[in-house]
Amino acid sequence: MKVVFISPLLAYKCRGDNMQEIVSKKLEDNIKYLDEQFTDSPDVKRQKLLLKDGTPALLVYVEGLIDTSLLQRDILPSLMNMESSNIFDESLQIANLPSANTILSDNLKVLISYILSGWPVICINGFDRAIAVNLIKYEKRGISEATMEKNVKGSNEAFIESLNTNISVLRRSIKNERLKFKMIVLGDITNQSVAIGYIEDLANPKIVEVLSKKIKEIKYDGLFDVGYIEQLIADNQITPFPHYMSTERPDKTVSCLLEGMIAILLDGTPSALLAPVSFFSFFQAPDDYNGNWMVASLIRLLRMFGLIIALFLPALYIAIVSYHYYMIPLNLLIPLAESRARVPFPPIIEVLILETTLEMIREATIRLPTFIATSLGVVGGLIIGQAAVDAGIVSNIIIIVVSITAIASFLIPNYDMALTIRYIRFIVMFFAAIFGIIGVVISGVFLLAHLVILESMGEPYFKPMFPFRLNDFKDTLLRPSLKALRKRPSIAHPLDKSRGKK
Amino acid sequence: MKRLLKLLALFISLTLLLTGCWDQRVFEQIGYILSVGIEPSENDNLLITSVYPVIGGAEKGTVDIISKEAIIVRGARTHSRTMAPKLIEGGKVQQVLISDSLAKDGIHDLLEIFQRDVTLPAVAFVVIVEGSPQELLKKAIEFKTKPRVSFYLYQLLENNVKLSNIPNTKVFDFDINFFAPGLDPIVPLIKLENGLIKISGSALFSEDKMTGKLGHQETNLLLGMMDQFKYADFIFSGSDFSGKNGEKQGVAVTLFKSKRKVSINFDEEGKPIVEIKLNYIINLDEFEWDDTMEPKVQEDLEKKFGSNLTNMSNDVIKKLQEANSDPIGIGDMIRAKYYDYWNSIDWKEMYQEADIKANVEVEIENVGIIK
Repeated sequence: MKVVFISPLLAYKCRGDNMQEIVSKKLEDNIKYLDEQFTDSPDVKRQKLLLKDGTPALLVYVEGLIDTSLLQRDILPSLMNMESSNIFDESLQIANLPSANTILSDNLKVLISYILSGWPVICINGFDRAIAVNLIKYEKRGISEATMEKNVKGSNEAFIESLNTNISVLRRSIKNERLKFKMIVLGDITNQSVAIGYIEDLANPKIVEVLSKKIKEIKYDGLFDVGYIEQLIADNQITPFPHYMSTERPDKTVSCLLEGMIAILLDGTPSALLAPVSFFSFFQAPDDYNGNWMVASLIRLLRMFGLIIALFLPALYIAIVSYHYYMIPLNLLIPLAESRARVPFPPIIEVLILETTLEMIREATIRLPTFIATSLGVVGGLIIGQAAVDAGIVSNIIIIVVSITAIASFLIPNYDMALTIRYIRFIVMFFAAIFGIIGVVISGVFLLAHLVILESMGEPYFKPMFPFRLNDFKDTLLRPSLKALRKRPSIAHPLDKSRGKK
Repeated sequence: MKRLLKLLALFISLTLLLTGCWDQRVFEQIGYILSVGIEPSENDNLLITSVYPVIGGAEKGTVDIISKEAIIVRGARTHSRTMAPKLIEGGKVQQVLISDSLAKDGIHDLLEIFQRDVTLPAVAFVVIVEGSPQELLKKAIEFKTKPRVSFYLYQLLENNVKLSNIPNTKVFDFDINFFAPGLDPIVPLIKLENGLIKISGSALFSEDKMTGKLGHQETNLLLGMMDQFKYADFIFSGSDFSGKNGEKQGVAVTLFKSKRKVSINFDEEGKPIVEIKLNYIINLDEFEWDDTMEPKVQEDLEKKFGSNLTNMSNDVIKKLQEANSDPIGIGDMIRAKYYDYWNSIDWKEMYQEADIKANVEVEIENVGIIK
């Protein structure tokens, strides 16, 4: 099978440049041009060869990006055993080489981008076209287990750095021709491919259109994570909340695609970016849907409770201890007061000492090797905590408050959202220290107001709550049975609203 | 626009930073008054005793007690602050103990501060002490085997409220009942007896003046007539209940669930005739070996209980009328149903003459597991 096509994404990319270097019929001109382009590039190999009829040709490729043994075994022998006229069929535009994927092009810029992506290019004297052959093969990591978003049941696969592999993983899960990927090249210098995956007839074409337009407009030299894309296309720059959800789980990506959402895959990053999402989707884990709905509902509620604790517990402690002693039940008040009697700091300092220590431990353990991190956890958690109480720096109760808060914040399934909650917690704490319980209420109100005005791809971020949608709301705080979830959530405005035919 | 934003940011941060924490009250630096005792002093002023827990002291579980003469209640806090090492605050007051000698002259103005100052809890118990609150509190802090005096009192009162031995009268209840025309408050009554604090029943009030008292069994029945009855242990004694063998002199029962029905009529002279029908359900707890499973014996017992309770309830009503105290709220009912009549009379006078009768019926539900 010999398919000739010019990759549209590369053609797009080159149209931007006004310089159109055409392949010359004289091989010498082409060699000269390529030599100029690839000075100081030891990995770009240029090999001259003679065809059977004595026509000189040039083979250019990047070592390490291509499958050299295949080139050696299949392409080179057949090339050298052919007459130059046999290689091309001018009328049919076919390159007659034993490869699954070849293209013909007369644009040297295009050919250079092919060379750099791992396609060996062959120029033949006397022809104004060159052939690029797909022999991409480079070192990559195998598909491994998800590390950030663990799951009990269901698939354990995670995305890897290679875009092709990630696309194939999605294709393997959705065996349907309507799964489409729009390809865009990003990065002014790095030339990375981005795939915008969606399911045709399901994803709203308007959103796909807007998203691809936004991504095309990105002007940046290089993008090292989907987080770059997220930040560069965010609707509102002044917010701590993630606008789009990045996930390393293909199963989550697939389930979102089935809800009419769009997945953005970037070459070189092991995660996908999902849009549009609502605030509540950050608190849903794939496991919620894998088991009994009653149990899952309980876990959902627990997670929401955890969110409230993670946001407000230290602030409430500060507010009540500093201002509203009469809110504490009497039986608790005296033990609390006794445990704080030795502490010389005001409550806000006391909480800050322990919270910053904890955040430092957390930050330190992320980057340390696992075996050191474990012992650091023990040192941080047990020894510092107990010693701080003995030394009279903090009270017993604050250790409990901070630990419960930490545990509660680990309940949030999404790492970005967990970071945001950590950040907001500190703001609420300062408000509480200055205004007491009113400060907690005010910051809660500000938080809600902020969430209500946020948008994700033009969709309200706080959607099932405000504006209220009963059908979507069912699946936020609770998780109803799958039979009750016959309708797709409306956040992505899917064209087909019902899941499965009855 | 940018300038405006900068100004706004500056304004907000200055507001936050400059206000600071001037009203911060960290709880370990506060001495929170747990109980207040109020009684008349020798110079006809108020002698106010306040109890606050010692926190961070050498000995655990202790309280400090400060007594000071003052002309008004707030004076106590003001004076205490000049003597105590901590900032004295009243936000956790659990009980207001008022001596009976003071209560006879009216106590409502004493409680006014609990409504006016939002930090003072309106859910503190109002308690009348037979004798001196100061003496009671001073005695109580010497109890080695009991929790801090305020906790002890709190638990004692709560438990007896559950048993309907005393009314559940918080400051706000007292105020509501005081302000409602045709309704009088009643208040728990305690006293120091043989070195222990004892619940003795309830104090009857006519408006805000204490005019009489009831024992705790009488309070059970009164709460039944007030329809605030939960359940109560009750012991009947007397010849009716001496049993066949005469070994036991009484019967122990648990009263629970009462139904009340009040009918109000008037005679020719316009005097109200009130009948309070009550229906108690009873568990028989202790009696003697007999045939209590037999329906006939049960019926007989039910009648005996009924007539006994009717008599006792009527005695309670008589005491209420003597004290000119109307906690049942008969006046309130008349005011609601017969407003013209209510306007034409002076209820306080009419109440004492009114013909109020209770009629109690009893149903035995459970006689225990002996046969």
